[in-house]
Amino acid sequence: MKNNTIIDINDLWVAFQDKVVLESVTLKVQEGELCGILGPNGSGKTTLLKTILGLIKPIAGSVRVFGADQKNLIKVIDNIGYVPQHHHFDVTFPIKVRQVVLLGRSHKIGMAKPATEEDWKQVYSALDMVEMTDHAETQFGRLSGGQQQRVLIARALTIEPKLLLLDEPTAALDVRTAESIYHWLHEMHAKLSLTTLLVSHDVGVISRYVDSIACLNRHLVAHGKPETVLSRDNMAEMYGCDALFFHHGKVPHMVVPYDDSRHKEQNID
Amino acid sequence: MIDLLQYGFMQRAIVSATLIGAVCALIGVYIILRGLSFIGAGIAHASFGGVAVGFLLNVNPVYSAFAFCVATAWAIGFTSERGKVKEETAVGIFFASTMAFGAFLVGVMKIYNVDLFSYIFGNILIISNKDLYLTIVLAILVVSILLLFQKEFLFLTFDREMAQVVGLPVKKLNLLMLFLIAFTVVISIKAVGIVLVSALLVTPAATAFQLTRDFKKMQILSVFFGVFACWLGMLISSLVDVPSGATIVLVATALFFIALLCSPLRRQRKQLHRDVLKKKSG
Ligand SMILES: Nc1ncnc2c1ncn2[C@@H]1O[C@H](COP(=O)(O)OP(=O)(O)OP(=O)(O)O)[C@@H](O)[C@H]1O
Ligand SMILES: [Mg+2]
Repeated sequence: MKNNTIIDINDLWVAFQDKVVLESVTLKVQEGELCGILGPNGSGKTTLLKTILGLIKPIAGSVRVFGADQKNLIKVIDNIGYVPQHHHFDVTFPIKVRQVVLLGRSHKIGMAKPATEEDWKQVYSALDMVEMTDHAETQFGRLSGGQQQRVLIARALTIEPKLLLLDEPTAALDVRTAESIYHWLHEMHAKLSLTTLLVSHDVGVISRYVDSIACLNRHLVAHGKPETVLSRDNMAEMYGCDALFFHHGKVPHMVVPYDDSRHKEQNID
Repeated sequence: MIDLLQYGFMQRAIVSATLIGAVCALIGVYIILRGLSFIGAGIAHASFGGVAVGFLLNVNPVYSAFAFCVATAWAIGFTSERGKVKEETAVGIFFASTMAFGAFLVGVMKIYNVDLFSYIFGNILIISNKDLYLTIVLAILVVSILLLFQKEFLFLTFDREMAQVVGLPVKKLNLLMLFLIAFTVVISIKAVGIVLVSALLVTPAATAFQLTRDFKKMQILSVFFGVFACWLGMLISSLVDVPSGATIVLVATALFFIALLCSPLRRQRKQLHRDVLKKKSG
C-alpha cells in the first residue's frame, strides 16, 4: 500500500441550523485503503460523506480529496463514485436504467455533448458488474428497491473511480448480491488500489472486508485496524451501551457471526 | 379556409401557433416531471405586472412583460437556491405579488381598454409582425438550448443531488431552465393570454405522459399534441369567432382526456387485472 493520502479531513466541524453534527473530525484515508465507517443512527456518517462530496459546506476545518479542497473538487470529480443511502425517486419518471447509469458519467462526457460509444461501453460494463445488463432498457422506476440499488452502484462504478463512497450500499440487497458486491469490492481494491469509504451497520461485513474502521459518533471515536478499534470501550462510547458483539472470543476481529447468543445476552440485559 | 390563408394575420397566427405549441410542449415535459405545474402560471402572472408597466411607460407591453418574467424567474431561482423556501413556495409568493402589482397599476391608471384584455385572455389573430419576430427568435433560442442540454436537464430533473455530485453546474442549469420558461411564457401570452399559458405548458406534456414512459417519445408526443391543439384551436376560433386562447386550451384538455381513456399503460393494467381474475377462477 502506497503512502498517499486520498482523503484528508482536518478538524472538520459541520452543523445544521443550531445543531452540531460533526465535531472536530480529523481523518486521513490512504490510497488503497478500504475504510469502514461505523456509528449509530444520526452519528453523522452520511453527513461526513456529503461533506467530502462538497454537498455540505463545513463551518470550520478542511476537507481535501486527491489534494483538492471543496472549491477545486470539480477537478477531481471524475475519480469519485458515490452511492447514496437514501433515494426516493418518482416511480413514474421516464428514464431508462442505462440512462441512470450514464448520469454517472456526465462530467466525463462533458456538457452539451452526446454520449460516445466508449461511454456506452463503460455503462454496459458497469451494468454487467451488478448483473443488471438485461434491464438496461427497463424504466428505472419499475425495478425493485434492491435492483435500483444495484443500478446506483453501477452508476458509481461507470467512471472507473479511484475513490468510492458507499453509504450503506447493500442495505436493500439480498445476501447473494451483497456478498458478490463486497467480493468485487475487495478484489478491485486490491487490484486497482481503489480507495473506499464504506458506511455500514453490518459489523460482520465490515470486519471481514475492511482494512480499517472509523468509529463515528459526532466526533471520531477511533480510526485504525479493526482488531484495535473494535474494543469494548470504543463500542460503549459509540453506542452508549455495552457492546454486544464482542463479548465472546478473545480475538476481536473474529466477529460473531449471526447467532442467538447475542439475542440471549440482550434478553438478560 | 384557403381564403383565410391569404391574410397576413392568419399566416402570422399559423406560424406563431406552431412555434408556441411546440416550445410550450417541449419545456412542459420538464415542468411536469419536476412537479412544478404551478410555475408557468406564476411567471405568467408576473407578466401582468409587466404589461401594466408597459401601458404606463408607453412601451411595447411585450418587452416590459419580458423583463418582468425574467426578473421573476430569477427571483424564484434565487430565493429557492438559498434554501430558505421551496421552489413551489417561491412561485406562490411571486405569483400573487406581481399580479397584485399589475392590478394596482391598472387601478391607479384606470386603463381598462380592450388591449389589456387581450393580454389577459390572448388573441392569436392580432399578433403583429414585431411580435412574430420576437416569437421566432425566442422559440429558436429555447428549443436549441433545450436540445443542446437535453442530457443535463434530464439528469437534473431526475436526481438533482447526484447531478451535483457528478459535477454538473446544477444551480446554473436550474436558473437557465427558469429563464427558458420565462421566455416561453413571454411569447405565449399574446396568443393564449396570461391566465391560460400554464395550461399550454402543462397539458400537452401531461397528455404525452399518459401514453409513454420513454423520455424521447414523451417529448415528441408532447410537441405533437401542443402543435395540434394550437392549430385546431386557432382554426375553430377563426371560424366560429371565439377567443383563440380559450379554444386552444379546451382542445388541449380534450386531447388529454382522450389520451387518459386510451392510455396503453392503463389498458395493460386492466388486461393484467382480467388475466389474474381468470387465472384465479379457472
Ligand atoms: N439537511 C439536514 N438538516 C438538518 N439536520 C440534518 C440534515 N441532515 C442531517 N441532519 C442531522 O444530522 C445528524 C446526522 O445525520 P446523518 O444522516 O449524517 O446520520 P447517519 O450517521 O448517516 O445516520 P444513519 O445511520 O441513520 O444513516 C442527524 O441528527 C440529522 O438529524
Ligand atoms: Mg446515513
